Amino acid sequence: MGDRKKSPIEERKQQYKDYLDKTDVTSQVREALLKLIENQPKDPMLFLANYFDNISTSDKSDKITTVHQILQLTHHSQQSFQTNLIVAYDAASLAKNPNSKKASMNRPGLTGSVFEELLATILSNVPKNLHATLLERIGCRASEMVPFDVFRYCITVCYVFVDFVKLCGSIFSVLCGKQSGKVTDKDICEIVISSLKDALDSLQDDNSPCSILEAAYVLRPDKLASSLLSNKSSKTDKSTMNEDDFMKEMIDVFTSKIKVLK
Amino acid sequence: MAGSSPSGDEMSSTDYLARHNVLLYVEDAISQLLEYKDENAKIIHGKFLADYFRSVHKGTHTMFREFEYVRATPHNRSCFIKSVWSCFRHIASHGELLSVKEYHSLLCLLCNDFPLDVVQRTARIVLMDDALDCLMSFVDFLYAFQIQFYYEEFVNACKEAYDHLLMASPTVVVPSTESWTQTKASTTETENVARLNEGVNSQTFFDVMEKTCGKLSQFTKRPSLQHIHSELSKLPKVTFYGLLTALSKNDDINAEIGSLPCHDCMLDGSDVDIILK
Repeated sequence: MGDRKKSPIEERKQQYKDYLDKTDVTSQVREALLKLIENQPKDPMLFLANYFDNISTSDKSDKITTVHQILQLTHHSQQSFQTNLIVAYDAASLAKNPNSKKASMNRPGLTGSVFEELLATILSNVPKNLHATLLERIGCRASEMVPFDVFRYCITVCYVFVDFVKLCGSIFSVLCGKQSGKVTDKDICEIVISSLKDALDSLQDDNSPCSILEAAYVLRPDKLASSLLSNKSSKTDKSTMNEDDFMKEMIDVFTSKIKVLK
Repeated sequence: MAGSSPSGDEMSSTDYLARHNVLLYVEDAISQLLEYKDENAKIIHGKFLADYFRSVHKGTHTMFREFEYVRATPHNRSCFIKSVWSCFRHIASHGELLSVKEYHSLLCLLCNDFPLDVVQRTARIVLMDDALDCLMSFVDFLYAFQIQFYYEEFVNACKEAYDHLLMASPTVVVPSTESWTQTKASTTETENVARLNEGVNSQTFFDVMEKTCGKLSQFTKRPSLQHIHSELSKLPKVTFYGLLTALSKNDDINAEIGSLPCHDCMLDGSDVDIILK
């Protein structure tokens, strides 16, 4: 039909399109949607809110924060966590200053110091005394370079550990029951702790699905209930255990199973 | 946008986006952003978008929006119902009775183009399609409103099923002092009225309703069949509005929707709570 002058609506549309492109909104939204589809979080609105929050502060953020954000996108049990691990590793391995003439500054790779800082960030919500033993096992020296396998193992362990700590906390409150104080019968706690220990000890080193199932069988509710009930009969010395000690013991059982890398 | 999803995911990208109405919210976010930047020169885009999605997550996003948006997703509808309750619940504690027009004005305070038609349909549920200029209590109105508004598509499907049954029932014995003879060919107005008052057979109604509701899209919300069946099984015959009133009073359905407290807890909380909230 030949060239026609654009109608006012089309002009407006084009104006808006240009504005969105110029201000990077288009590319940001596209990135956000891609991440959303990849991770499929249970609450997409919260995910998007956090994503755009991170974008607006990302100019000031450093490598550690960016990597941490990537790792937080999805729960460690999800398939997409594996993809995020790869992306995070690449981001963490970026050379500090690619244009620098100093050889040490432009070599890519994940250094031990960055790695340690990252672990500390992940574990920041866990009290220091609780995660110290974990770090002893999986930390590394500042000068060492960290390969991807080690990175994947340690990061996953950290996230599982964070979940484990939360779980222990809620177990303890269940054991406390209606008691107002933060202490509970020491014997009950000991039973729980030793059940966990037995289950983990029975785990063969090959980590086959069979042995994992067998270990989980040891922890089944009715067995735990029967061992707790059998204790109820003896009411001799009622010593108590507080939350810190309980947590410490549970965590010790957990960390005893972690490979020592240092 | 519908690329292949990575292995192990529960649903395809298109399903995931459709289930959560993501594209609708993203489009609305961008239109809001463009409107906002026209009036305010200084705008941090990332922060604006973050605030928008956070308000959707919290449920405060439907306040003062247009009806088309409020109606657009189940989440929006349930948040709107919640806002109606939290904004006007003091009416419940004062025990005032209001008319259709007054409820409509109240709703228009929160959504200025809210249609009167929806409010009238709600009134029909509360008043059982009778004496529609009667006054209604806030509690009755709110629970009926929830059914009418949140399950709008389901209510329409239900009506379709019911009308279909009314027209199809061939032999209905009309008990009356005058003897009317029933013929299949001619149905008089009085018989229709009688049929309307008596309703239709509950089991048949349930079966037809199941079929009609099966035609609704998988993402359209509807009450679970088990609760509908439990209401229908209480009486051998039921009218359309009788069923809807029963559904509005059913606590299980209310809990499914999750916007309003259970019937007994409705009037909990003194005026002090409301002011402090």
